[in-house]
Amino acid sequence: MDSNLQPYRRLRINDLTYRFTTDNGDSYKCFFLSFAEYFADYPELAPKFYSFNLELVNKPAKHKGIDKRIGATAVKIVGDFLNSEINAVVYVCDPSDGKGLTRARKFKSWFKYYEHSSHQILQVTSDIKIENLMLYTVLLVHKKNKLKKQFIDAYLDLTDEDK
Amino acid sequence: MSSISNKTRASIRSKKNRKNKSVTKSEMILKMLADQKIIREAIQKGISLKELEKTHGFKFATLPSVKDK
Repeated sequence: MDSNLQPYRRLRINDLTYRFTTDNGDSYKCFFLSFAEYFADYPELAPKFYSFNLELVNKPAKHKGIDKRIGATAVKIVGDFLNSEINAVVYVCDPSDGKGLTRARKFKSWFKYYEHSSHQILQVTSDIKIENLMLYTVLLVHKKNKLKKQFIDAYLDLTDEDK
Repeated sequence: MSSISNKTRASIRSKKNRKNKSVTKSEMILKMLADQKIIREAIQKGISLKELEKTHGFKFATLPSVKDK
């Protein structure tokens, strides 16, 4: 594999958190927050819904171009999480700084581009407009997950304004 | 007449249900964003996820051990 596409080595700093540091010195924490409360109408699925969070811990270093290894690492982490074929992951792009759309495009491109297990993962996107705020979200579920259709229906039910 | 009246009532009920559901969805989405903000700010302050579980009732997935080389 091209070394530019090699995921960073991640550390499991406790039961709930992975951490990795980029060549630029940026440090990220990754974890999965339960989204069960948002899918209360789907008791069988609710405990299997998680959001993926990727948080930069330090102030960003001065970057020289795009670091593709960050995407490769995120895909590896989410891919491994979904490989159990049990859970589904929702990624909510933070809109607070007006960069929600940029984040959504980047996140979606990661899963189109990188190999690993991403070819096994189904992506469904849904944009929600709430109070003049555009929120970009992505559902990720393993193609072999037996409940994938139900996951997609539940996700679209939450994000579809007209339903 | 009665039939029309019942239909009308059903239509209003349906619209009310839709509206209620829509409001609930908006509230849920806004809560989702608020929770994400709490978590993001807590991480910046160095607060652990276990602490957040205790203080805010969040639940996080237990992660498998890393097999990266």
